[in-house]
Amino acid sequence: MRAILAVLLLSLSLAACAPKTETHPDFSGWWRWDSPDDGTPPSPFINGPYIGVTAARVALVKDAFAKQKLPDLADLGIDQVKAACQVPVFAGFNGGFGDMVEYLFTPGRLTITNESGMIRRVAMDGSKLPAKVEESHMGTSVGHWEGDTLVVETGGVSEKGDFGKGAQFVERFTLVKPDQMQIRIQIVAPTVLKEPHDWTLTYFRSPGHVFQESTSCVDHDPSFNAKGRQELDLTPPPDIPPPPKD
Amino acid sequence: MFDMKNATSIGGRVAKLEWVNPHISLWLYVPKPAQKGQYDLWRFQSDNPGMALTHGWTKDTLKISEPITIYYFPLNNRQHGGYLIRIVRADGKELIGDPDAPGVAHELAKTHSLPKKRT
Repeated sequence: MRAILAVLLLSLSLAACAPKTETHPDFSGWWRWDSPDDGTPPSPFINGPYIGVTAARVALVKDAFAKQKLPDLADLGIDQVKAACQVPVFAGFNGGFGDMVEYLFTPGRLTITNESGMIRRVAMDGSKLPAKVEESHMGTSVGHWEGDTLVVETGGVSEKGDFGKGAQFVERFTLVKPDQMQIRIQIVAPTVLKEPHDWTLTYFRSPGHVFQESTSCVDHDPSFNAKGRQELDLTPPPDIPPPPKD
Repeated sequence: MFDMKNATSIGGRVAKLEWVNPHISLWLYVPKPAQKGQYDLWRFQSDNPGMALTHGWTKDTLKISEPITIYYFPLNNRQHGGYLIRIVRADGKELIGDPDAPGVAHELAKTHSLPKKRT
């Protein structure tokens, strides 16, 4: 009995001395953005105080969707096949429309990735966002927890991104339900937005989802011809079964 | 590429479901008018496999030779293809296409097929 008591006391004292590990909300699995599903343009940032060229471009997109008449982007000089394989640039949206999003936590680091090739490296080591950083496609990000809310600050995103040179992003990730994530994002973009603007995005965890491959950059997209113009390839696959006999 | 103002429908038998990115493709054998036993092969696109899963599809959802009716946006050039809006199976059950694709949500709303938003 005395020996058991000694072991118990030792265990309790060891437990008391062990460093306390913080527990944070469970962000595991793949997440899908809750798009409007109502015929409006599927972009979380379609409504905002845009200025200049961006304002005109957003108006064109809204009009095209309202009329249900989308242009062939080849007519605007855009090579869509090539564009699908370009290195992604962070523009406030982690994905989740046609490409689900994953959050990977490792000591001192968070990696946010999606199925179309985006990889954001977020320092979670207590460091602060430097006042000046070298520009890059994903920018420079630091994150920390404020209670159960993950806060990620990003700057130094390449001006190739939708929000232009000098854009700053602050994202606040919160699980409002076990499988529902809310992201409140504030974007400061002096060349694109009239004033700083806040958006709220909702994501749902997609149980059982398994990553297979890039959803956008593929070897052969049958939606385009050899010249990069929209044309559905109607060549039957070689393994197509024969037609019904009855 | 697709005529989103003139949704239409067509019946046929499933030839193959290509479960690939960036769009799944459903191939359908459609009987030739007035030519018994002869078929045309049509191709219909929808969203990518990951998104299709969230709309109730799997790569095994449809069986080869299964009779179905497809509601779709035709190709502008009126060749044998289109963009899938929804499928009605022989038992009356439906499979929907991608509500995020231009025009699809409008068409689904007309038949109350639009999925309810999660809360």
